[in-house]
Amino acid sequence: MSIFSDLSISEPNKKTDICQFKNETRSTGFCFSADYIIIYCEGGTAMISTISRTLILKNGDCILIPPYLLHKINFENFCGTGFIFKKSYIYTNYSVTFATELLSDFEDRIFLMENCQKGISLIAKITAEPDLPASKYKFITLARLLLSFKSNKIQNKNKSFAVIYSKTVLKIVDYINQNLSKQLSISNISEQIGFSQAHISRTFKKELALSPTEFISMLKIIEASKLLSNTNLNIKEICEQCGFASNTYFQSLFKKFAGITPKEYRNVNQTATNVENRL
Amino acid sequence: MYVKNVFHDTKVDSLVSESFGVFDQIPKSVATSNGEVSESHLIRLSYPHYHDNYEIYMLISGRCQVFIGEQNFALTPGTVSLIKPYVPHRYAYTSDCPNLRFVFNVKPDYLQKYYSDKVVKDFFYMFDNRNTIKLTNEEAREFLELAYELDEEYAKPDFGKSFLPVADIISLISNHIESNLTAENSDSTKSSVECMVEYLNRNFSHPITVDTLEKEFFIGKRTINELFKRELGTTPSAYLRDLRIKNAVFLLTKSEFTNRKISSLCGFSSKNHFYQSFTQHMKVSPSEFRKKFKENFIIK
Repeated sequence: MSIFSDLSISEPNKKTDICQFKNETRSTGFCFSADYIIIYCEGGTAMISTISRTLILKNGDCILIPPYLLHKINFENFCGTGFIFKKSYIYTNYSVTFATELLSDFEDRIFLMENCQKGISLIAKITAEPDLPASKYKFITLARLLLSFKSNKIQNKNKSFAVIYSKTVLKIVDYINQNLSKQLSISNISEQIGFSQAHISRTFKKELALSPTEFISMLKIIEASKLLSNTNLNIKEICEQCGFASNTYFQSLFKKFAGITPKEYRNVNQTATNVENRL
Repeated sequence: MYVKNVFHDTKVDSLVSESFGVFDQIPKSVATSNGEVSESHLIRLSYPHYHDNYEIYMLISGRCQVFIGEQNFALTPGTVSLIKPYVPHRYAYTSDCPNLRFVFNVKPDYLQKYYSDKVVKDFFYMFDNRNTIKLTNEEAREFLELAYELDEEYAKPDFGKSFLPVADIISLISNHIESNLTAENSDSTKSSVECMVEYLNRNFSHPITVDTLEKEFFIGKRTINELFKRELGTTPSAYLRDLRIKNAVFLLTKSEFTNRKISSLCGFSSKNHFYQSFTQHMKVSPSEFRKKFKENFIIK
């Protein structure tokens, strides 16, 4: 089981930043990415869901999924374009103050831009052939796109999204998120929240197709990967902060989820931190 | 003020408010690719000026001569001229139809507020060795669209998002340069003199002559002579000789090398040749020159 999404969604083996979807039908389980993901819909439907909301992409819509956000993607005859970019890409091309400002809002939830007329040309420019000389300056177009997401955010603030999970699940997920640094188990969750252990297990299995324990380790692994790539804390400190019982347990669990060790993961994804810490 | 951009029709004197110096050397006549343009045709002139920011200028309609430093260029609609900080320049409008143009000036520290140092360095790299660029129609249209956006953003408080169109304009020009790199190198005679001068400056210590330039740059001796005359007012051999003598003077006064050694260090073919051309040019022999210099130096 891997929860690390790589956006070469259509061709998993080809590590590319851009991919075109043509009549794609597929669905992923819960996953997250260390990169920002932008998907533009040109036909068919796509359903992107997080724990708290689900949204449907229609023709002309564009979404941004921030890194380290647990999400699920369901494509049905989906046509469109998707691409990813790393935090470090923004930091190497923009001044630290502006890069921080640019990325500041894109956290914790999915951003939707409906019928983005302006977005189409921007995305076309970004996803144009990567070996054009213009590709060197793609970051300018990307900033324009991010800024239009930002201005759109204010307009769409009160848009309602369908919530597909029951209150029980939402309440428990909320509790887990707030107590990631502790050692969590079903028994102490049921004590704290007041649902029976059997009820919790049953609802989780029914709604998320996961056991509560699996879900807890998943959120902890996400937290740990976030710390691995965004901070310079050592692995032992990260292990403590995420409430893992022991270092070896953390290492083996991480390996199981990611396929690589925490150290290797850090080597691949750490660039952003170095830029920020230079100040 | 970081960015300035103005749409003008004819008057140019008020174009750049931050000009610090006025140079009153205005050439009597201007050589263009079409031949000589007499003074009377230069109807509208801007004062020569310079400023501490980079200037990007695009002519939209009309005809214009731009004088950048020692050189001049004829601009046609769609041509962009790039001017580095502290380089004196001025514009002269040579046609009677309205000379529409778009100009903006930008300081690196404005862009540094938004872009990383590496990117800003990349942005201004294109100002080195390049003065004018002819955009294609499509690129010119894109440039104008960005120019209108810049005009709009510039009017907003704190210059709005001016940094985006500015960067797009710069990337547009630099992409044009990159994709036309080979084409532009071959047809610009302007830069070939610069290249030759650079070559001479670097290689004068070797026994090179005008024939070497001919072979190195694939330009006939006569053309080389004409180009040098026109651009620098001297012949290549005289330029080379001056360069060598200047260097010999330096070595005579600052070092204890023998005449033989100096003559070979400066690229003279023989000691006698060195002696001859030095004496001819400086009216004293190298050894006398050294002696006199030392005496004067000690007395002082």
